[in-house]
Amino acid sequence: MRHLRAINKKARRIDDLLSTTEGDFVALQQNNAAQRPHYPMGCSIVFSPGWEVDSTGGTAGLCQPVERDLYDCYISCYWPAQVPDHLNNYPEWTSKCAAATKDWRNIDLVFP
Amino acid sequence: MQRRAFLSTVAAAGLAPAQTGKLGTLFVGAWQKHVLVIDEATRKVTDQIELKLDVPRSIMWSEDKKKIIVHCQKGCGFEIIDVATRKSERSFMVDTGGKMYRPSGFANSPDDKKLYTSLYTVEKKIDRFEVSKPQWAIIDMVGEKIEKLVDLPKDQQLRGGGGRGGGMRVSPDGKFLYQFRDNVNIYSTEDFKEVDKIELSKPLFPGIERVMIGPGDDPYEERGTILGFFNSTDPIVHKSTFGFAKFDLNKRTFDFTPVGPSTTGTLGLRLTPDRRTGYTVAFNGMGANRRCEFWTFDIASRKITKSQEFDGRSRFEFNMSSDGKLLYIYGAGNTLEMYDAATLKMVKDLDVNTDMTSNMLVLPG
Repeated sequence: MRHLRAINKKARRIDDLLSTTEGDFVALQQNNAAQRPHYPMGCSIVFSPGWEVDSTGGTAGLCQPVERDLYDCYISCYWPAQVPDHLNNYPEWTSKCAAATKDWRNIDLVFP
Repeated sequence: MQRRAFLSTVAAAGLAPAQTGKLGTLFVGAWQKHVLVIDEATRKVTDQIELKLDVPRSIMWSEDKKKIIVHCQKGCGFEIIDVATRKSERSFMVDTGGKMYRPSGFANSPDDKKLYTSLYTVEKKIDRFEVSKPQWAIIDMVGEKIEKLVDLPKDQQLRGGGGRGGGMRVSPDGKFLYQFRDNVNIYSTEDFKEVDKIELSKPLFPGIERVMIGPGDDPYEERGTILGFFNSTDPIVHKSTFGFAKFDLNKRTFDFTPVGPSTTGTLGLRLTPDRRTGYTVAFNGMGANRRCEFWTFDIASRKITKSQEFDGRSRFEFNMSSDGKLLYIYGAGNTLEMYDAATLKMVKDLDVNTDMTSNMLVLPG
């Protein structure tokens, strides 16, 4: 079928859609999903809180100010690797900081 | 109104609990080891219940609403809070030795002695961690241990979608476990054998191809009945529609009422104590283009009577006061926004001085 080529927009979109189902080696790609920037491990490759991106490659999905994300992302998402080990070695790393937006300067620095 | 069976909305309104007129109390988990108690009348934090284990991830009522079951981050831990004394009664972890459990979604038995969940096990081996297939689990809340583990059926082992487990409810007689996913799967609570399946993915009536619903968290919910939103698409042009779905857990019957075109998402339905008015938060668009709106519904006619755009934070949860006069926006941070349900305008932004980490429970006054 190589002699058939898409010549208009709709045909090219169908072509693109079909090509995504034929397998690519982009990590975490979903079949038929809209093409978006690819961050193979989500935000977890970003090790500096405040500089991460959301699943669309932008920052609109992040909490504002960024400190709101700190605890919520730690318990539900991808930051266990970026923050001190709360469960075992550093359970008190935030004992002086209940509201991250207001008291983030009180968070313990940890040097493992 | 299109219907498949049973209760009319008028009957539903008649069964609603009487409105006491008293304001209630809010409970919400907070960093680092607390459950906050907020008085609705004074709109202030009146107490902080200390937890023994760890950060609260989710909180749920016991059946009689006299206890709060807290699921904590550490060790798949649970704490039982006595609502009257506002103290943690006991706590326990079900992780044992090298085995760690990662549950998602809970439903408690009518006698509060068992907790049903779906989970997967992470076992520490000498050179690796081994992750199990998703399993059903019964947690013995009296014996404080996992009582039974059963592999999920192969077609239910897909990850994603309602935190793997989807929404769950136990039937009033305690014999059946309902799992709300793309279908409603009904299991025996004894051995988790599938006893029935309501295939929402098949047309329920002409024009509907695919339906998804989930149970909400309504403090005035009638035992054995779920009223929530459903989303469906038609089989011809695949236009997405949302509407009201009412599910009777005993009779296993549905009542569907389409309302209008689907939005990007909604945050569940909250009903006033007289069950005549409903509220939700609807999203349109994504990312920087996302718009958040409050929608007010007349439950009898199943119509939207009012909508109001508001400045929604990036990530939040939604709830309603016990008297139905305030709407709450909270989560991912330390502020609780209160909106007047009549005008849909903000009336107070309460700083609770600690980041909230769980869902909110509303105890009517």
